[in-house]
Amino acid sequence: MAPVVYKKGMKYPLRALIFLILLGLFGIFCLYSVPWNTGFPLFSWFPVAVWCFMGSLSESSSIHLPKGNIQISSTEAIFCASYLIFGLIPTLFVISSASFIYLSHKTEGLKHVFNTPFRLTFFNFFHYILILWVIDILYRVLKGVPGTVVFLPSLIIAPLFFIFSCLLNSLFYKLEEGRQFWGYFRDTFVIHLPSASLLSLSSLMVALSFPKFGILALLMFALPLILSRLSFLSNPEEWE
Amino acid sequence: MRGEIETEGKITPSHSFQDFLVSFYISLPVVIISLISWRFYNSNPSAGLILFLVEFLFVYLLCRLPTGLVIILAPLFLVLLKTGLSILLGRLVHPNYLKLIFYLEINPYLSLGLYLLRKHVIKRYLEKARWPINLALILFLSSFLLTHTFTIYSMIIRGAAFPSPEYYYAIFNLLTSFSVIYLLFLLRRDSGKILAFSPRSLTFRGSEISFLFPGNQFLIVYLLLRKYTGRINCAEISRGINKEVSFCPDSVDSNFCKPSACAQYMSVYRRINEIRKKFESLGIGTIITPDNKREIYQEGWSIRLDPQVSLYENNAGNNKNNYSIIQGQMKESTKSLPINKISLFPGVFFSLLTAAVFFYELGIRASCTFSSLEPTVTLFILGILGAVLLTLPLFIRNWKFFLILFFLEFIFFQGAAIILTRTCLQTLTLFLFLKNICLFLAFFIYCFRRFPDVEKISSIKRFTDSSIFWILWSYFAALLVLRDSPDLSVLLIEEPFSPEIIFNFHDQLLLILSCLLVLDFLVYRIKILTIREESVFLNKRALEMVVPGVNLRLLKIFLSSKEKILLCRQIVKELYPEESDRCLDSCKAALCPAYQRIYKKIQELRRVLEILDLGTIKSPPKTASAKEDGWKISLSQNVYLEMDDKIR
Repeated sequence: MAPVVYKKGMKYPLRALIFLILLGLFGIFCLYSVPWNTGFPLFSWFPVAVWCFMGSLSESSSIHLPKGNIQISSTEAIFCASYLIFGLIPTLFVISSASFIYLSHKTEGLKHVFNTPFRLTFFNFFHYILILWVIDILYRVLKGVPGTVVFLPSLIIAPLFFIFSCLLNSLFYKLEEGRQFWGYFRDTFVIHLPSASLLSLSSLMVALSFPKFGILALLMFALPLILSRLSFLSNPEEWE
Repeated sequence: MRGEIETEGKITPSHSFQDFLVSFYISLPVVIISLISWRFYNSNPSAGLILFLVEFLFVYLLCRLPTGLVIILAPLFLVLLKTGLSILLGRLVHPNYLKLIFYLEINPYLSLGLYLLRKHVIKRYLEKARWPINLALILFLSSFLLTHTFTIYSMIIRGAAFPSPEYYYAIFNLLTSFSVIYLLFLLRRDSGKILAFSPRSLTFRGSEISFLFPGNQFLIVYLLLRKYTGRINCAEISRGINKEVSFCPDSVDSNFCKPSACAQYMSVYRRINEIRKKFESLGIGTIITPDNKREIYQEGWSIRLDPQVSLYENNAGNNKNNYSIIQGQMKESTKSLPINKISLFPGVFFSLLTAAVFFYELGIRASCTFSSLEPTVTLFILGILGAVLLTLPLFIRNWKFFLILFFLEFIFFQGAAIILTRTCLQTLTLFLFLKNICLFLAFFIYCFRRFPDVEKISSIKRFTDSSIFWILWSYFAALLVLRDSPDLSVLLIEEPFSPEIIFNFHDQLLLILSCLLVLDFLVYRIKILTIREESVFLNKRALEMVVPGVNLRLLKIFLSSKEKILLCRQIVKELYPEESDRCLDSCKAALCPAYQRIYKKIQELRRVLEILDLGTIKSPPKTASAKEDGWKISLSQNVYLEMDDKIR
């Protein structure tokens, strides 16, 4: 069955709507279960603000893959580095920043949160929250401490940010556009898995260098990370 | 316009003043060291100043050398000579001179390399290296510049006295980084494919291609390129073609204009479709139309150039010679990388060295793991096993066995690194983990050349091209962050064969080798020419738009011939069978109309093959010998031929 791209005025698929509602409810539960009452961990506001800016910048430099009708960026690596450097709560700020504050230039004009369909922003935000929640649990189970790099657990969780995001996106597009789950996953994401995994590995490097170099470690990461869209652009058929 | 160009074809003119400045710049670190040693340590600067003069003269002569093998050998000789002299001065005059090799000379020598590369490497090869140049630029920007910033930052933090030699060295290094970045930017600019247009000519990558756009097509191309940043609609094109056109209104009015009934619109629409196919086949770009076809006549068309293409308007008119690629260099440019031949000796040597260094390092640094084991025996056994596993795939010719062995050795090395260091140092574990990934990437690219299967190369390249940059970047970052870099100049004097020197040397060597192999691999682009009954396809795209009619038949005849050589009479027999009976052994080529026609067709075909980077057609040395020697088509080595699903 050919995928039907949802446009304004069309009847929204019921199962996709149920999925979004469930995702939202689960996301709110995740936010509720965050130990807010334990107080903020010790971190400086300035590096977190810089990292929030990086998240927005990365989201702004996302590229469109026409084949999968999806934007792809290196934001997951930013979240991973943020989680390993600052821990859970600051990463929520970074996720919020990347989900709501972005400005990207597309052929049809400037794109920002106010002219992006609400359902997409909703999905983006809550699916990242869900992923962070799952990864936080996994990291703790593997005896990792959020905000600190513990070698093996962090090596395991680093690529999972991207993989989980791809899986949830495939599920969402299956429900909304009627695409095949594994077919969509294979055709759209598999080719980017090696570079995304390596990108997450380099986010580990930033997390490790942060105690030594401080804010400069973030800057060291910033340039190649933003330019990482070049590596997504390696296939000319996917240029927009 | 994407980029501006100053000179075409030959990238930089040979300029003695420029060479003089470069020589002075390259020799500057010696002066800096001499003056600092004199100012802070009261050492005699005369030896350093003599070295400066010698280096200056040598580099100046090097810059003036013509292209050839000497241009590769001379810098190598210079580096070795300079290293030897620096060590000598370091031992005899002051240890500060050792900083030349490991610290101050890196950027000037990189700049010299890039300067010579830019001066001597032909533009066509640079075009192929666009992507690696971009990566090199990013890698350099994000590493060297920040390394120096970190150095200065850490000196400020720890409150180093100012002025001190460390400050001068750090500032000098930071400043010289800019020269490397500047040269990389220049190389990046040079690596663009230039599309130059004027009212009378259209050149792409130095060759005139206006003959591919006959009649009004050329005028439409000109109008589209003039409005590169915007859109151009049917009315504007019609007026551009014929200024006295009366049936198009000044502004398109949907009530007046009926595209489906307009012959002019249909003609423009058809021609633009043809232009689009030609642009796509040539790799120039494409023409964008609105999603809704009904809006085409109002909104019009726009050009989207390939990111590698730089557009340049040549207002002076037809100035073809300015853009021509030097034909004599074409032969060199079609020489591609010998992908199926590798030399075993360097591979075996490096594998053994790597296994030895790897387990030596484990023995030194992971001593806590060996508290209950006999380290020497265990490491010796593991080292032998590692060396065998690393060298064995070099001799395997079976793809599956190669993959199995490769996988096994990867697991073995990663396992050894993780298990033996896990309890001691997490940073070492991570560093060795990343180093192993980098090592195996380099190793894979090196061995991969033994399996020249186009399908495998294509599928592997699809995955690797976008990710190998991150392996290099992570390894470089690991070197910067996880390794405690000792002052090598001090260590070299005190303990020249200390483990730190060996580990550092191996780390740097691996990084350099990986970078070279990766660049080599990235430059390699596969092109598949498929010959079918109906047409010839380049990477599944029909070539009939850029190689029309007779030329396409000629190409098919060339490609189907066994020796890839065609005599004049063979071509006549295939293309003009009715004239073949006129071909005699005693014919005069210069007087034969069929020969003249074929000659022209071959010229056109050669031009298209060269523009598409597929290869060239070699003409016989003399016109008169065409009937005995014939023309030979030689394809680049990255071009694979498929005939009726049979891979050559």
